[in-house]
Amino acid sequence: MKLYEHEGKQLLKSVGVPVPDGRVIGNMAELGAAEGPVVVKAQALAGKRGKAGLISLCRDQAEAEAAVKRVLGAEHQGEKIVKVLLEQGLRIKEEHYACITYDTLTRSPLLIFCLQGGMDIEEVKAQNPGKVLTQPIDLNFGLQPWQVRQTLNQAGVSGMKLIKLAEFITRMWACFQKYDCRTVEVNPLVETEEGDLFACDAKVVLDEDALYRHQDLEFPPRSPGRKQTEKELQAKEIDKNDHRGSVGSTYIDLPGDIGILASGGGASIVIMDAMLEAGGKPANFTEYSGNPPGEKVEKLTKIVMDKPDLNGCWVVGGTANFTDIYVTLIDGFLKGLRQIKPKPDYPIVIRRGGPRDEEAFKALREAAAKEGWDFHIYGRETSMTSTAKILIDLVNVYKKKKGLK
Amino acid sequence: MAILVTEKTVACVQGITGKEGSKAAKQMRDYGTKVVAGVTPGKGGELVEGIPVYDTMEQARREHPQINATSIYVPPAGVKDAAFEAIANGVSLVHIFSEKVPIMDAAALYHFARLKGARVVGPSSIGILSPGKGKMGSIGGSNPAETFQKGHVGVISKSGGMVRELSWLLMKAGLGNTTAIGMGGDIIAGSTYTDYMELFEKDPETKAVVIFGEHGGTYEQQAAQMLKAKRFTKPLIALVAGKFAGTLPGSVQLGHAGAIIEGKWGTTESKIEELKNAGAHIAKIPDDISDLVKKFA
Repeated sequence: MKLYEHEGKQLLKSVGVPVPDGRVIGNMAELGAAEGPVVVKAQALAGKRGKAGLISLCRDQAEAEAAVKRVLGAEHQGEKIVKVLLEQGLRIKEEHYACITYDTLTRSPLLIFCLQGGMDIEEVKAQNPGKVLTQPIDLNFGLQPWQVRQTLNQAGVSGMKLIKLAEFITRMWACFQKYDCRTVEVNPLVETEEGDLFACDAKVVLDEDALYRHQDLEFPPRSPGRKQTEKELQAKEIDKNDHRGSVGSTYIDLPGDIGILASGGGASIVIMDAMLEAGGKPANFTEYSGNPPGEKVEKLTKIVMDKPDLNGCWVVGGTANFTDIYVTLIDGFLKGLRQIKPKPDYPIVIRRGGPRDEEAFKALREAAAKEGWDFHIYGRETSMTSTAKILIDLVNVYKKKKGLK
Repeated sequence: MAILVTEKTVACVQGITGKEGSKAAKQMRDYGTKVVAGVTPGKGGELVEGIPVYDTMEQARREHPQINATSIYVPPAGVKDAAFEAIANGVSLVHIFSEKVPIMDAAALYHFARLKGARVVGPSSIGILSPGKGKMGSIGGSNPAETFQKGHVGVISKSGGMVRELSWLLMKAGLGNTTAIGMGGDIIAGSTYTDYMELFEKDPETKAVVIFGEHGGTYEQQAAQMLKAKRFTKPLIALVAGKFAGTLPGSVQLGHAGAIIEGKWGTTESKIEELKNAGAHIAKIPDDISDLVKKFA
């Protein structure tokens, strides 16, 4: 879960990382007196706010008012700005870069430091890789102060500044550990004319799988890039307080006309690739796995299929190892399907394998005969990806029959 | 031969008294694995499927000194503790089935295993299966023989469903596995493609290796680099999924925790490109696998 700048700074501040004095406002009335110099910073999850003109240094009240007015309600990469951070302006002497994040090469948290901050670290790295210093953190020992000093020294820092920066970075590591962060990035890490250090920006990403250890942290739901749809929020609710299997934890609404109920983290992306290749237009992406109970799949089925303009549906997965196919398809999918109004008459292609698959297929065939569903059922003998084309052909016939183009 | 799970494997199941844990213990034994003990703190003295349950790993090992492998089926919050207990007590192969393990815990137990010379498979791993020898975990469910048979192909997959699907495609074409492994799709994996490739390289029975990868992370790139550096010399057949993810705006995680594209890192296209340049044989869809493997195995 990516945090807004002001939220990230709250966490940094709680472990003693110095951040500039500031406050968050949500409307013009809250602005009040804003004596300059003040920095007006639109709160958005996407990066490159500076380039988009969403951060401005204001000398007086009039400038601050104008800046807040300009950014409140504005859009940044699809996200509407609803909060603005007002911060004390600093007399900046130097800007550095510091980050702790997971690295898959060393399978460790990695400290990254660069003397040159305030700009895109990827660009600096591309031009001058030697300037970006790294130190993997062995969790048997944690980040040792000498490792931080060594990294800073290699970057060219010395004297009292080395001591001060080492202290700053050690506190960033404390934040990373304390809150189970995936990333703690401070860019720029500012040194003022007075010689003080401040985190002038903060990109903090929390590990969602560790949130149970941090019940005291309360951050509203968010989706980088855009506001979540009603269905996306509903789907997220399914897994809440029910750890049996994983259902709908990823659900994304898409503009197409084919409902997707995929199974398995890997298979679900294989089948989306196949759908793309075959030219089908998915109405959503979602996935369930880990032998979930029927009622969870039933809920997800209703979210996927309760859409007015569907012309087909694909219930698809690989050959399951331990997911009960009867439970997920009959107590889950079929039960959910029966509640959709108006009753879907479009083709539904089902491809699945695994425990109790034959039993499930028999029950589906019986339901189709009795209740008039247009099921097309395939077991593991038919390859998963080939059913994409089977479905798209059926959808095209259906659309023609309906006079749709 | 096979890797990791062989005739010499003597297994324990941590969390054997839970629903999935007890099922797995039974399946493992039914498939020929020696499952001699279970560990669930507080439930020592019970029997699950006739298998004795102990309160601690130390006690289990005292009664059954031959235990050399464990499968962990405990809730995510207890995984790190269970894995540390196993490693500290000298268990050399630690398979973790549990999903949604905090990243910090996964990294910590990987580092501890490295320190102690143990091997971790997972978290979020469906298991390890060597046809004719046995299995650790839920891989293949209660009827592995439906989709796995003995042969000369090693399979390594981030996805548990796909390891079964790919092995099934091989079986349909008359091919089979030495060992099939679900490595898990988390950001930090206890063992990655290159760790397993090193073992397959040394296994005389394995003639080719199939890997299933996804967008996100760098493990596929590392496999490509190993191949390029000729530290792996057998044919490598790769299927990397996730093109669709690249068409979505922003950094959206699809399916597995590690399947997330951040910036330019970890796109499916870049992984395929690197693997191809390193000399891997690329499958576009699962159905391509058997034709690509046939020439070698």
